Amino acid sequence: MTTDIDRRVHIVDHVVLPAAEVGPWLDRWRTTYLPGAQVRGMQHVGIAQRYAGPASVEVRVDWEVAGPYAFYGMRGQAAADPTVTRFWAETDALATSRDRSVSAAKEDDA
Amino acid sequence: MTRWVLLTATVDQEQVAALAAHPEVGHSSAGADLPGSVGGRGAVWDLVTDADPRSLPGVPADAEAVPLVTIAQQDVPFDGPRIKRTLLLTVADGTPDEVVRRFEQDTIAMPDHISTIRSWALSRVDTSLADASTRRTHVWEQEFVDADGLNGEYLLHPYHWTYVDNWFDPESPRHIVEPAIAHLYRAAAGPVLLAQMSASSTGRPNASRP
Repeated sequence: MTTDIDRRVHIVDHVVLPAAEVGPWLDRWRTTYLPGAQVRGMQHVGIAQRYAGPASVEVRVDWEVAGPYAFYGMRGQAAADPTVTRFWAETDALATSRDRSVSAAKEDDA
Repeated sequence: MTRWVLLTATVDQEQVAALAAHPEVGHSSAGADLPGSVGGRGAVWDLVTDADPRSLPGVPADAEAVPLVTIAQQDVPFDGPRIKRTLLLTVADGTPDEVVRRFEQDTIAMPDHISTIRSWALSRVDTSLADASTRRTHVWEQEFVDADGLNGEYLLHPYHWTYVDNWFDPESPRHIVEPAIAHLYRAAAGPVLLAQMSASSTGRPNASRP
């Protein structure tokens, strides 16, 4: 892969939760996480869900960031924001698994 | 001799040069942090000595002195001025050894992807010599022909921000590096890492990897 200053950054959060916790978690996400994330430069693309087991659901949250420099800036702001730390700590206390993947847009989609 | 990274508020280049000729010193070079550096004190002094650096003439007594044990390095000789970049970081307490080793392997693979990295070294902090108060665990050093090599390809390469950065991203459950890093770079008139490795007993043969 080549470098590109304008290469869009795709971020995907995967969070597997007990099914009964999905609604309350999404409410907290909308009120306590989403507004700050948008200020940090994360553009919310969408949310999808799938059953990950008989009583668990995986929530997938897709984001985009304008480019690698914007990504580093966003990450630095998140590191300095205790509400972000608290949100993920509370999420990890509920979730059975969680991951965040960061990908580069294909060169011709940048 | 031991390689040291010293963080100081300022450096006096006459004292830096004088220390290079000191009988207990194998290498001495330093420079002010360039704009874009974060987490430092104002300057970085690279030193090779078996003495306590703060006992040497001209070294501020309040300098943060970080002793290094280099675990992997490669020398890529070239002439002339350059940018010396130093990243000091702290891996969280309790991180399993096998995870730390994976982080180290991912880091030392960066020069395989990022062509602007010339000489480089990854070191662990020598806990037998470090101040008890220091929490830093690793120092990742590179040399570049110019600042564009650092602020351009190094930061923009997808290997860096889609993969290695997971170790640093506080929102990633895979992160192990604490947010309080020091990302520092300075101008250097000539080789730093190559000169240090030649003067240091911790230096390894070229292209040493664990």
